[in-house]
Amino acid sequence: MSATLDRESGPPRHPQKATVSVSPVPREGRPYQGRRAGIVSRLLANSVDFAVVVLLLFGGYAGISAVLFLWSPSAFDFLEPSGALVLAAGAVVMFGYLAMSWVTTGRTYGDHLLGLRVVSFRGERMHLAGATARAALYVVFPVGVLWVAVSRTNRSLQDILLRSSVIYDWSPVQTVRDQASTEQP
Amino acid sequence: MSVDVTHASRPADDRAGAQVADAALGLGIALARAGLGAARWAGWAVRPAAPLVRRAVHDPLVRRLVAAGAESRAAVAVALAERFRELLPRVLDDVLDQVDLTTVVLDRVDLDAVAAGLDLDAAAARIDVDAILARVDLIALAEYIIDGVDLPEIIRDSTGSMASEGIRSVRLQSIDADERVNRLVDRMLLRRHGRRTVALPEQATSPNGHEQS
Repeated sequence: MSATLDRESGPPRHPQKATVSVSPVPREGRPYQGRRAGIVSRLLANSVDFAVVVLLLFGGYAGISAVLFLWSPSAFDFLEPSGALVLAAGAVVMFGYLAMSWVTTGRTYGDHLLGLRVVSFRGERMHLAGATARAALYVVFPVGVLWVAVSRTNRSLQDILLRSSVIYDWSPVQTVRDQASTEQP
Repeated sequence: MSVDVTHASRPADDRAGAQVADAALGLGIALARAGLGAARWAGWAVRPAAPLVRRAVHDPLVRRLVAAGAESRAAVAVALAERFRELLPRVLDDVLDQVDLTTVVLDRVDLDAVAAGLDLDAAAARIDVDAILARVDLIALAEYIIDGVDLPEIIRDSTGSMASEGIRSVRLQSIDADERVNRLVDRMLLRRHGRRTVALPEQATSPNGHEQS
């Protein structure tokens, strides 16, 4: 939502054009915008993301089962994948889901619900390389997020390695620019 | 303004002085009347010599005298006028210093009648509104008004749903929980200073979250 005052249509003494952008963020949430999120918000977002990955796995399993059933109804039987296979599939799905989310919108569905956004050290959306590296690090060592509780700058181990940040950003679209702090943890 | 001319409350000396002054004034008036009578009598007395004077005017010597007299009279008039112009501002200043002009205007002038006679439309038509607007920061004014009425809140109220309200509540509660955990951990680690969580200073320090370009 933005209200625009086009001053060119006004008196000729106001040749400059100015725009007033109204923040969609509620007043009580504005002081926190741009700050790094704490451990509770991030764990809640990660929980939602984990649930999304589980749903995706179930969906994939159901889809494969449906295809097999349609292919040969008489010989159909539910697949019984091994634990390792489920774990590997889950890791792949989570990796793809996290990387795609961070590189496209800067936020997963869990981040969206909690009003979080992942940004690079420049405060911009992460590039493909950074997003994939971050996703891989989270899949390999998800416990690294707990460092947020200890870090003076609310950064996980992955954030420290990649100089990324997870900030409160309730705006529906990314408004952050090049104001990210380059301070180190 | 009014001048009190009653002598009832004055001391006896003042009354005597006033009586002396009145007597002098009366004497002056009597002398002036006598002078006027004498002049009138003298004019009547010299009237038979008028033809002689009219004839003498055509004499060259008399003409020069008349011209010199007229010139002197004109010079005196000019000098007097200049002196008058020099003195007038000082006199006016002295007078105005003695008078509270505002009180005089309030007491003596019907300001309502004056105001009723003013053509305010004509005066307003001469106001340069563009110049006034050029001195006003319209953007800041718009932001102030928008922030005052909390336009985003109105829009959310008119278009929002229970879901968005719930999400906002969850977000705020999670932020509150974040800060509580941060404080608890910092206390356990004996940290004197708080955390540096500002990743984007301009966003975090903006009082109303508005952007201006």
